Amino acid sequence: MADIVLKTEHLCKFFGATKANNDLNLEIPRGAVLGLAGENGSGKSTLASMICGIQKPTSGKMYLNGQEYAPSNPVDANEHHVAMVLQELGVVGPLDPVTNMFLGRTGKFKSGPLVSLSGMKKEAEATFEKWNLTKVPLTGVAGNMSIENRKVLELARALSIDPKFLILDEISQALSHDNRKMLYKFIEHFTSPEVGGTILMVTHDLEEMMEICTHISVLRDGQIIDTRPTSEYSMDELKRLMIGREVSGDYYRADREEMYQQDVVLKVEHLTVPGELNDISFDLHKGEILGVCGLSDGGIHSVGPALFGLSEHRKGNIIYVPANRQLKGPKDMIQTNGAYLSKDRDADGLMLDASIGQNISVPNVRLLTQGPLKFLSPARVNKLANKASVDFEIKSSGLGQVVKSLSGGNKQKVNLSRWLVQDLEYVILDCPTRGVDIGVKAYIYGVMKQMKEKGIAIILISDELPEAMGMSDRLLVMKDHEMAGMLSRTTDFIEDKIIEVML
Amino acid sequence: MTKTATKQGFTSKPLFKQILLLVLLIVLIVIMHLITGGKMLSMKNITKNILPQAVFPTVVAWGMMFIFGTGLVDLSIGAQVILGANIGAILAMDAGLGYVGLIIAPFIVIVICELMVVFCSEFLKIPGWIAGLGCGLIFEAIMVMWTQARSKTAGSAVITLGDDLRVLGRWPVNVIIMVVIFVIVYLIYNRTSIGINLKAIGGDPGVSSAVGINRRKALIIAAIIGAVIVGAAAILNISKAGSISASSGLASLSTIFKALAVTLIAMSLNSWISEPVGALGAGIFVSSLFNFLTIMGVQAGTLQEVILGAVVIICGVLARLNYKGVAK
Amino acid sequence: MKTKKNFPWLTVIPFLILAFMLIIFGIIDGFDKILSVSNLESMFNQGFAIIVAGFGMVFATTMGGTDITHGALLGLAGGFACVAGGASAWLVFPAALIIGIASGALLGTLNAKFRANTFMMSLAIMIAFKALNNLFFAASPAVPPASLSFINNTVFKIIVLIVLFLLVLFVYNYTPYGVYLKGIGENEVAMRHVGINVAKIKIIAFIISGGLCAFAAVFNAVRIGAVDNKVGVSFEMNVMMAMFIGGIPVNGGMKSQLYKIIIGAFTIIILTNGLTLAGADSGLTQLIKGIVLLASVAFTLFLNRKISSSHEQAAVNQKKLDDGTAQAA
Repeated sequence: MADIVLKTEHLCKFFGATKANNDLNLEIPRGAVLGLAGENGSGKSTLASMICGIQKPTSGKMYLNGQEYAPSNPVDANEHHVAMVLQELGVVGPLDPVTNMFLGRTGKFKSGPLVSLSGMKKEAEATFEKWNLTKVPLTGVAGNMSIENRKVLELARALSIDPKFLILDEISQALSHDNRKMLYKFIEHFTSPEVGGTILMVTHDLEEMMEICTHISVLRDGQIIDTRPTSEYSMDELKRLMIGREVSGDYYRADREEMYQQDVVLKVEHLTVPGELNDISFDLHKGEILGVCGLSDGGIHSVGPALFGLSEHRKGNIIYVPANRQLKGPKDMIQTNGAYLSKDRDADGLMLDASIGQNISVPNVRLLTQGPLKFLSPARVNKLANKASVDFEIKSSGLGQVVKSLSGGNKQKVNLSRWLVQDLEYVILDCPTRGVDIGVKAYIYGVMKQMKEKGIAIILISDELPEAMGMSDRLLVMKDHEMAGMLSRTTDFIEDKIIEVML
Repeated sequence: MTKTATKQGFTSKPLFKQILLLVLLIVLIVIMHLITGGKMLSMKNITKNILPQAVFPTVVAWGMMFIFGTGLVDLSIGAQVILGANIGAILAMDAGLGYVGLIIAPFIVIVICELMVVFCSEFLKIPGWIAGLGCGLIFEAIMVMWTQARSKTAGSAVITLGDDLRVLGRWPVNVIIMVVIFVIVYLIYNRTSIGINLKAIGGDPGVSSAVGINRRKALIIAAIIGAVIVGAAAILNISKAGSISASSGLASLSTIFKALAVTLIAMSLNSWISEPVGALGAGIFVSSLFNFLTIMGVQAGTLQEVILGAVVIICGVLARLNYKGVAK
Repeated sequence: MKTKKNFPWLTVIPFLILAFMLIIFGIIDGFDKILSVSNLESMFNQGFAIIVAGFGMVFATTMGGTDITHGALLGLAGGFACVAGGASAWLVFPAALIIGIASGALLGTLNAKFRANTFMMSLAIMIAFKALNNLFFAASPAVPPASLSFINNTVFKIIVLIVLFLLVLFVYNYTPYGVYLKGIGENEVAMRHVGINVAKIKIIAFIISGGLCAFAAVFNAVRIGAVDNKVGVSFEMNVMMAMFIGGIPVNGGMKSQLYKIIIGAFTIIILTNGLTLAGADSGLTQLIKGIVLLASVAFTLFLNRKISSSHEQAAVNQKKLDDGTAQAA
């Protein structure tokens, strides 16, 4: 019977109506290096945050060394010898590195009423020495350290509490070659029988995962698809488990042909945003659904803001061809009958505390004014809101219902309808079916098909490969912020081939 | 370099920039001195005007450093000073408790007042600035009511400290006390857990709570420390002025505006020097600047405050230079 | 699918508070005194400036900001108007408006272009303006031209107020500008995603705030007879209290409505007036006002939180229902 250091039983974490982690059952043997593989949104960070005490589970249990384990906060986890280096956390910029290492525990270094900075420094140096970590400079403020050095410091911070279980979240992507070597040596040493530690590792680098991890667990849509020793995976299988999804239901397009009109609506030339997009060029045709897909951090979600005009230091040309007009900012897109719906509808699209009617009216009021004084008749606004609500089958108790109280699917309908009720020529949709139930998904695809028939051009940015494959005429695959390929529905839409290009 | 880094927190910041700032400060003061024809830096002017006038804004600024540290912009401090100082004077004079009354009362009163503001902000969830304004109105009103009652009975509305009780407000005692407070503030801010935790919360609330720093507890302790410092400022102020009359309609805001400017200057320099030191330097600078203006004939209460306003505006803009979020 | 129709507490409460004030002070001071024509006229005259300036401040608050300059503006704009009036009575209003608009433009730009915090910036401008008032009007108060004394007539003021209300209401409720302004208060990022020029809207809001306050400043100057450096003390607090007690949300947004400042202004006026008639000292009056401010803000925020979490719960319940029907299907 293997010595299991951490076990989760039916572990769930729900955020309101969203199931971030759904019924996770995991057994991690002592001395293992368990890799968590999965796309953004698959639930990896939620699982990691529950193990290290940042979040509390909605239901289910965890066992550490056979005992029930429910840390109330990260410090509690630390006391159980569970430590972490998390991606979204980091260091406190204005403080020096040594203080950062012992933040929250500075009381242990008191000499008299004051904290002994030299005492902390000695302990810091000892920790670096003990684990053979790269000696980063400990002077200055942490905010001025290189990202690499910061990560090493965070690792030292985690190790200073003498952990037996260590969570490493995306730590290696910040490290240079030499530091990676140090990291791998450390991992080997930490999980050796003499030390007896166990590591949970989250990384996007699949090669690294296959090389370093003893076991790999694949997560998708909040659930664990499989957990196996690394030797039992092939790289291809791993990729497919991560990205592929069962295509349940037949709500995408029925046809298999790339089909759209000749006329170009948007011409994008050498679109570049430092750090986000590198030299993206394409044409968008009338009646075309142009899919954009890739790994979540490959840049796909930067395309929308760049086209719309919200990105800083944007270079390149975006031309609305029918009027030969350069799109320099949001106003240009709106005035050329275009629209952009961001991925994050709650933060970027909707006014959650306002009513359905108010939300629908905002993008439309400029089209409803009468006379030189721009008189806005509430009756007209209401009429439009009603039309949108009916056309898009929004399930509500009335236009006055507050959007916050709607389900995800209905919220998305409000979000979409406020734009699609206009006479648009082109639309950019970023993850339009995210967080939406099956019925509304099918509905949205139906709307997209209708728009295509009317000659409206759609850019569909999606991190769901089946969706992108199911709906697009052409698929722009992005990798590492660049265009990796432009695939055609007629000839290239085979799942494995696309995954190949993506990764 | 390593030795100084372990001994003193503030040289974890670039030494070169600190020397630059010090030189800049000296140069500006010398320029002002020359423009006044050599009148500004006389021993008499320094000891009678510049340094004593720097005491109140600087000490209040140190108090603000702790109170504003977690984002609670509490402008009732001015009213708290008036209330606390006067109660100290009442106990000293009317109750005959002398120095004991003068010194103990302001601390207690101001701590209670500040905790009231914290209560409104943390537990009643009133936005910090409204809590400050509302409580400021209340503190002022209490003072006004007492004044109005006293003027009916005792004849004079304002209580004045007897000359024998005002030693704390005179040179060199007041400046010595300021230096002592400086050392204490510096040590607390840089070398105690509460100071470190406060800086952490201000620097990155997410990381702070992840490492187990209890934000609410730290906020309350910091508010108490800040209130004690403001209490000291109140004692020093009434000792110097002899009496502080009540204000109404939030006129008390004007009394702490200089301190606010000092705090903001120190905050915008905090990547170069530690804030307590920055506040000290800014306090001396502001006092010198206003002394310079007075010598040049610009009346207090007029263009001096306009310049203060401009300083606050510039600091407000500088503080947000790299800010990418939504600003209201 | 149903949602419970919640009783609109948030809308009703300001009216209840107003009625409560009327009744309490009616009992304490006697209804005949409170409701006498002379008292009503006196209350209206005091409330006029608060309401007019309040119409302006509502714009700043609706977008989520703060404008605390109104007290100082009452002095500076009023004073300059009187000085200009010395040259010609026609210059009085333009002179005031220039000051108000410039102040608002500065404040709006600091926030819209430099992302500075409106509270801190308006505080700085207030202190600077108060200092200018000291400089210009402390020793020699400015006196408005006699030819303008006709505007101090109560009937005239009522007409001006109604016209102003209709104009402002038009902009606030019947133009796209009003919708965008409220939208910025609700979710500024979402407004950027609609292609709205958020900076322009914000700057205009502060210009309206400063401008309307300046307009009120002229009437105030004529009513008092002279502008010295004490004009406008605690005026901005009165306007702010009128807004929040009237039910305008602290962070602005869609629930901000123009009529609310009127309700709130009357409440503050009745409170102040009632206390004065009852013989309360100015200190006691301020004390009660401070408590009322804190209590009303705390209470409305509390109600808002409860309503918000009930909306969230409704969404969760709805999702459970949807999941149930999906599974059954």
